[in-house]
Amino acid sequence: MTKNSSNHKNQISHIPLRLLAWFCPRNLYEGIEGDLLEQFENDLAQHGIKSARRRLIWNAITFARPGILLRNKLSLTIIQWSMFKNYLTVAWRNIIRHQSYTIVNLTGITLAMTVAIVLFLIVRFEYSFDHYHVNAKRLYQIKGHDKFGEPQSHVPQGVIKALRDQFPAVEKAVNVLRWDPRVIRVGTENIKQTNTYFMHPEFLEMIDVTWIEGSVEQSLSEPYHVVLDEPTADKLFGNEDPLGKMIRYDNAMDLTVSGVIEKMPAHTDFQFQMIMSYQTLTKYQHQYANEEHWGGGDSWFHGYALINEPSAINTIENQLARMVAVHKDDTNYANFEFLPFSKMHFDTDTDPFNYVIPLWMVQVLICIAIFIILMGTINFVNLATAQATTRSREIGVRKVMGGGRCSIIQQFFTETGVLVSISVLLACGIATLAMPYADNFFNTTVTQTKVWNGSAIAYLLLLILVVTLFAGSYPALLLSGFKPAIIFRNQLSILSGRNVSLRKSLIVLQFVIAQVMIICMAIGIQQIRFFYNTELGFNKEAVVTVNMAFRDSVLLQERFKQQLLQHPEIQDVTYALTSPSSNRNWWWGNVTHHRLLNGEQTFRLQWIDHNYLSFYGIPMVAGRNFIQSDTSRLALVNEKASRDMGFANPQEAVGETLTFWDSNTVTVIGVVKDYHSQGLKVEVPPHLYMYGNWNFQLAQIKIDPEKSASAISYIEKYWRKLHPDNYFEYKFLTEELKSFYQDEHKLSNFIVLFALVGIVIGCLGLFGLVSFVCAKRSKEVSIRKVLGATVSNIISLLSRDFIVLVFAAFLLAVPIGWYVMDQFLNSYTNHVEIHWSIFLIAGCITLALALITACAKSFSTAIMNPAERLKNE
Amino acid sequence: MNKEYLGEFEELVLTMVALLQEDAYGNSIVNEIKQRVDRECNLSAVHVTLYRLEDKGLIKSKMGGATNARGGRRKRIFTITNAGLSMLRVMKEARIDLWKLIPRLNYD
Repeated sequence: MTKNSSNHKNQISHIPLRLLAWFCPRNLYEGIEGDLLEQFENDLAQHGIKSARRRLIWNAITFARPGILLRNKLSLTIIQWSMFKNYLTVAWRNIIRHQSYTIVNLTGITLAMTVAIVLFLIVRFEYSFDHYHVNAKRLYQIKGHDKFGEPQSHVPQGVIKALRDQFPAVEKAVNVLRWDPRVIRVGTENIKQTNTYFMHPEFLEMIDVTWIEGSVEQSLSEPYHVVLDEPTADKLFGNEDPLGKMIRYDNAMDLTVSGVIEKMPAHTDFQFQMIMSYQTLTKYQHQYANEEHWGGGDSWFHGYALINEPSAINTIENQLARMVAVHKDDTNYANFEFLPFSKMHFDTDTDPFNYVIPLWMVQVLICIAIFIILMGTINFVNLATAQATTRSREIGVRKVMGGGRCSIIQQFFTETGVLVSISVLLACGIATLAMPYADNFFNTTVTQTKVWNGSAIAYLLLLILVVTLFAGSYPALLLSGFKPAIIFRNQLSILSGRNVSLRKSLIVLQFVIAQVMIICMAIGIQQIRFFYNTELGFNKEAVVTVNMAFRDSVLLQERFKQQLLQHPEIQDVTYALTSPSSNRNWWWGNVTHHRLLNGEQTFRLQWIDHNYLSFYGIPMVAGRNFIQSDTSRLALVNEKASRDMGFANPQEAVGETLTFWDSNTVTVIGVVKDYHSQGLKVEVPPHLYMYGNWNFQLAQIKIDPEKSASAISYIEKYWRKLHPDNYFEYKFLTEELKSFYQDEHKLSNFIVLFALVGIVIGCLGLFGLVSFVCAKRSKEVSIRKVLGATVSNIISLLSRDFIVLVFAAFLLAVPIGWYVMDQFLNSYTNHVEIHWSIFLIAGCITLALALITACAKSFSTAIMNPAERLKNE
Repeated sequence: MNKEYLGEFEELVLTMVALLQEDAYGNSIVNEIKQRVDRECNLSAVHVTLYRLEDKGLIKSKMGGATNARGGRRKRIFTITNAGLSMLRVMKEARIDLWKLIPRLNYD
């Protein structure tokens, strides 16, 4: 019998019994366990070992039912509670006793937590875009691809009409146009108004809009009605009731306010401030009245659809492609795809109403957050492990008094938990205070949304839990493993020597992260500076631009120019459709020529004055420039266009005849040197320049930079005289150019800040460790000094190890940083080359900071009077 | 007493405790149910029912002596109380009274 049962013991798996012991009330446990074992023995005899084991597991699990679980008496927790109170007391005493340690530790982890919280809020904000609509899962943006494969956000009316009429799976389909007027007028006041939209009113039923006054049916059923959002209504009409008030729109039509909606939330691409119906649009711009238009158009003329069965999307896309093929004479489009609302905010292909953020950038932020949390945690582990020896006696006493390993582990987790909770609370406060600045710095609007909601609190709890677990587990396991006998025999130094290598590798890891961040920061900044400072191929300094409302009146243009040129502050004036590098208003045309690939290609169209090229200092490489007497049948192209036509020598392009927009034929008289017309992130597109003053939308004025204030006042004076009904607004060309690189600017801001936080956390950890070592070795240092060691000897003795570690980290960080940034830079057409000096600088910065940190502390130990320390013996 | 209500399974287990007398514990009850009424039941279900009956005061329990079997674990032996017995009796009588009211069936 005995033999038999010991046999079984070997065969039995103890896991189910342990599980049972965990949830089963003490007083019932023995009876249940016995029954389970008996059952196991029976099963073993009847069914064999495998089946018996399986049954045992199953039987044990079935005991986890309320009838058993709820029999757990709470009386046990009274003891646990008093122990817990003791842990808290001890934790508090430790915090008080080792103040400098606590401060270093708490600062490091609070910094990390603050970054983690701020980044969480930002990432959550970016991910929350347009998720809140009731229909969000069924809403899609329609996105086109032209026959050259280029993505387009414009969706022609014909597509929307087809979707409405012929696809039962499409519940609703609409066009939405953002069209910001040059001016609106209320009473006698000219006002600049952005975020104005024309749309099929059903769109307001597809997405969530809160109406204060009016409704979709009432407010937008008539033409010339307008719906405002609340802040705009307040801005335009103050406290008066806006309903029924008149607004003069763009000096073209009078609108009646027929409804008011609440301000759209910050996390939507649809920041509607003024909404007019599509019907109004057809009266304002007649080309939109043609419902069968399948051709191209404004990239802010978007299409959206509400789909009944998302599974039908593929079929719809295929059918649409076939329909496009039918209209191939009227359109450049090849196909249309449906982009779910959840992906819309990350789609950088389209021209968004609000803004988009590349997904990889959000992922970089998540990575940064994880790395910073990791660094904070490492700090904690390092400091706690280093401090372990000072706690050894306490642990010894606890163990001798009967404390089990479990209770010691619990104690250290409690202590970690307390510190982490304090730091998360502090971090919450700091994050709340810092968020408005962060918004400003990173160009986000997180503070306009509700920040502290359920998910944020869940995140905080998760953060506390995870960090406590990671930061607490190593010290807890290490300390609880001390043997009291060894502790009391004072041999702990042997023990603590064991974990030195772990501590060292953690420091290396920390500094690898910090240095990779610094390398990324340095290269990122270089790239941004490259964007800002590279010569674009034209002279951009001291150019002020103003819009011209009368884009086709030669007389008024000429008068304005002559008036300005009277003043010495104004050096030159030219007109064109846009500046050489505007960020909006790009006109494109399908150009046909027999030497182009497949006979046609999309060219950027530009209408320029005869002095435009000389104004900007853009040289000609072949042929001649426009002269005042030229006609609109003549054209210039850029080098890229001449290359695309297959001419090795630009001279050959002169005299060629091109056709654009189907029927406009022009003859090339010259070739313009390439310049970056769309920023440095993309290739130079082929350009076609026409001399046509019917499309001069922008006056560009070169001013004397010394006297810019008076120059601008002259511009304003004459412009206002010319446009009495308009809103005056001027821009510096250099400012406008920067807007090309907003994403990069944002990212470099992120990285600069977080690299700094990273290095600060790293140095704090180093500081903590060095001070610990100094404290431990102060006796040794004193003896060395007595025996004649100099201060510099001592400093190098104490800090050499750490500096070596930082240097090792540098060696690891270089290839990682190089690889990461090489990937990043290769995504740009024009980028800086990674130079070895960057790594040197990054390494020197970190080494210098680490050196300062380590030496500062060891210096104070080194200059200590040895007598002070030794007399205490 | 009258307000107390016993479920079908509870009644079965209570009967088994009465029947097994000094040898009523989790496993023996499971086996007895299997033998007598040919019904498979889960060990944990029997345990939970036993504890519930104990709460109601219909049975009481004590720990038996250790043996070499069951890995040396003691058995929790259940015995029926007077309250339990009278409960069973009341239920049986109520059942018989009802049974008597059923009209006799004719089997031809």
